[in-house]
Amino acid sequence: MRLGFVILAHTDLHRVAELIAHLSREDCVVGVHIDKKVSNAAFDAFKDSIQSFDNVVLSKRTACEWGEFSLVRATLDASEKLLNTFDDVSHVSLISGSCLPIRPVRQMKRFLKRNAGTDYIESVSVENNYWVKDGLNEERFTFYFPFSWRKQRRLFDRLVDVQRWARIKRKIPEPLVPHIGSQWWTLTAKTLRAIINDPKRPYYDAYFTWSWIPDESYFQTLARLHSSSIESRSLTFSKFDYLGKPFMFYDDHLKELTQSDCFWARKIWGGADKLYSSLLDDKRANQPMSGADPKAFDDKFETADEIRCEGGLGRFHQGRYPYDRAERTGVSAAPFTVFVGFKPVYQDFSDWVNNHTQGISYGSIFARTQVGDFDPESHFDGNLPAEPKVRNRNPKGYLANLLWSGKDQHQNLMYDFRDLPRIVGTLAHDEMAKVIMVRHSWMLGLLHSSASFENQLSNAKRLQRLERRFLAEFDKDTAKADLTVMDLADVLAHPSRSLRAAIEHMPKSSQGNLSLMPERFNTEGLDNFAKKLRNHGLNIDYEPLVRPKENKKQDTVFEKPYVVK
Amino acid sequence: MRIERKRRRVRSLRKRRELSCVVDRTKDIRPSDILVFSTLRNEKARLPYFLDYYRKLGVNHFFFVDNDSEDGSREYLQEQPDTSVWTTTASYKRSKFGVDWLNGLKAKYADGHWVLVVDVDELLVYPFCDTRPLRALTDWLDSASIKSFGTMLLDMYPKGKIQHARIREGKDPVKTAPYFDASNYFIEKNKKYGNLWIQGGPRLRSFFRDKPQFAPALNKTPLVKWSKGYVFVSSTHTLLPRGLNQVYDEWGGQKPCGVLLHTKFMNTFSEKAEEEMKRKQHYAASREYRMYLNKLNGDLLLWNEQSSEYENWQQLEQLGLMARGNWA
Repeated sequence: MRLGFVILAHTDLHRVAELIAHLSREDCVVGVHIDKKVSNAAFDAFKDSIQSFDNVVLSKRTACEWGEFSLVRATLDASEKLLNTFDDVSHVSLISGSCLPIRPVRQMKRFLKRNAGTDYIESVSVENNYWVKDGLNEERFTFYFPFSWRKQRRLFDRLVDVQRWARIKRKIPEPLVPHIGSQWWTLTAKTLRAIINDPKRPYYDAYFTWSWIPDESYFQTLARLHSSSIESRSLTFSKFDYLGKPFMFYDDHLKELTQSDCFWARKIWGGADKLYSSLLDDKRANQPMSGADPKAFDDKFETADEIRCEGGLGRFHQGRYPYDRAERTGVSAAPFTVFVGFKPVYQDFSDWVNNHTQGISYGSIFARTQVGDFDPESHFDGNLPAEPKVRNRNPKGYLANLLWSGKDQHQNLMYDFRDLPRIVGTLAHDEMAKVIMVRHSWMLGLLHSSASFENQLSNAKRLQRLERRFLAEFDKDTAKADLTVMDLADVLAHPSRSLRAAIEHMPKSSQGNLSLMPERFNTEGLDNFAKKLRNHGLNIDYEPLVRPKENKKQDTVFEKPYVVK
Repeated sequence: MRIERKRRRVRSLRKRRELSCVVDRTKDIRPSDILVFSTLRNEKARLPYFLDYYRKLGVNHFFFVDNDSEDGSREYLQEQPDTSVWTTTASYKRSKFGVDWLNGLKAKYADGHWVLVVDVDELLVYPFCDTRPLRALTDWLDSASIKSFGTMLLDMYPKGKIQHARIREGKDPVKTAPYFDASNYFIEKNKKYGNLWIQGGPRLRSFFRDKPQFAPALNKTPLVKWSKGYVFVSSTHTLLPRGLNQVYDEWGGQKPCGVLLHTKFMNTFSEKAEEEMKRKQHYAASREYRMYLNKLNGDLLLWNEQSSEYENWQQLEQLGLMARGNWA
């Protein structure tokens, strides 16, 4: 059993030399392809550094372009040279110059010996699978791709469009069945020889020259033709981010790397000294597969994409400031509650909520002249000043800062129509906001004011307008908050039921005694007041409920520090 | 915009003539080197730690413009093996607070390099900075074709009065002034240049409570893959061309970003404030310094019960002050 490696390298050649030195000590043979784009000086230096090894062959240099056939040609050349030079090779593994062994090479050898006839190559049929994350799948095989995706992106895209329009369908050479998978494989020498020496190879090569990303399909397709036993997985871990760029490994990944059930990892950052010295240590102990947790390792990288594309909800910083029309524009990372219009009904509503639920009650954070009941000289957690001038400068940012510090608890605040109107849009567009509103409650507030009726009337007009505007904001298609509207009449008629409904979704506190009600303002004369406003031309659809007698009984169960009509 | 950029460039080349070279080691610079650019005045006590910090992160060469230091800063820097130093007695204010001088030097020496523009009281913290050198970050940015990296200036302060927090040569100032505000930052978008405008932190709550709109800007883009036509517009808050200011995600995700630990609020601060008031060489008629002096008479306490103590970058990420993005 002799293990051979084909290495494709285009950068950090001193690292490639280190890798080759290690493989040579492990009694492996190596065929190296160095990209033609590497400068001659660097190439010569590399050649000198591996001169002393007799287990290495260098193949003809091709200039490789990502996604094009040149990569396959380079692989074929290096493989051919390797197999021709060392005829005792039993397996060949294709790796890149920036790969490192997660597990010792001798462990890999033992693994291959146990599974002698098996080819390890990820090879998935394009017809019924979605291996490709994003982009072209079957069209990779049926269109022509003469342009470079990196350098001639516009032409590339245009040509794809044209071919779609013209319904171009290239004939796939018989008897090939298109398969795709990871570029990195480990094949038996028998299979690899069969692929290289296939009499129809010029025909296949010509076909693949015009297909897209043949490095992920050439061997994957041909192995299906020549192999007697394929296990469709790669022994090299490599993972791409959402933009199709491979994830890199650094020194701090050392411990996690063995979570993978692969033998090699790509791609290692060239400066990762510790990874190079540890993973290329000849005395490194075997890393049993029983310790692997490939799912957890994979999740790590899935999470990275998630953090990038969806992370940071509720927070704005130098890396995150969503457009108004984007997703996840909200100011909160966790659900929070806004009580609208409870202030004119109950005297100490915020305290009551605080006693009955777990979490933080801030009170009227957006009151005109004050931030809740807080001393303007004081600060919230995170050192946010309770100063209205600071708040008024950027209400949305203010709320985001406030809610961020308390995000581990359920937070609630009060809002009334006399408060800062600029925050309404923010509340309505927050997917985490649960807004509970008592409609028409502003009438109660007016009822108790000592102002003249004329004054009350003009205020009523204003407040009604604000209430309508508030509701309109939540009616918009883009509004995401969860709004519950209770009617004042209903709240007055069924105080305990409505209060319970208002805090239903919040975590309850263990000491809170639900039978204790917040003190309610006197509602005497409300119905007449409403009538009077209506008679003066205000269009209010407030209808007092006529309370049936038996309902009254229900509420007498509760202690009643409030005034019952 | 292009005209503005060109005008600023020409201006910086003109202002470059105000500088006289003290020591020029630029011939040692290799094409892949990471360069630091900084202006300073009388900062001798900070320099050893500053140089040490950035050398450990893998910075290869330092460019300093010394604005007429009298405390031996210039002589100290001159002796370092990896510095190039210029000096000038010209007006700091009229060179746009040093921006023109540095733009001029960058145009000449920094083309094609990753450039970090920081003051000597600013320490860069980025995701994984404890295990990955700066080059790991710049390589990653290169591979993603990203040309600039955003940070927020995080004002640090001591627990007691700031004049008791002494800067000691070679010692980490963050150990002496380890406190910061965790959630007191306000962001708007600057429509003209496309950068974020961040205000907040201890300066906002201590000096600008009544006029928060005047609080100093905390957004910075100090790390840039420099190219000849680029210019910084005001300090490192804003760059031209505008695309370089787009360091943040606008679609509901987050890009990698870091923090500059700002250790300005220590014992040298009040001395500086007094001197700068006399020189009147700072931004917006030295409004900041004037506020400090008027309000506090040199007796400044920024700490309170709500202050957070700095631990590491992971903590800042947890607090949502920076992010790793998809750099795994």
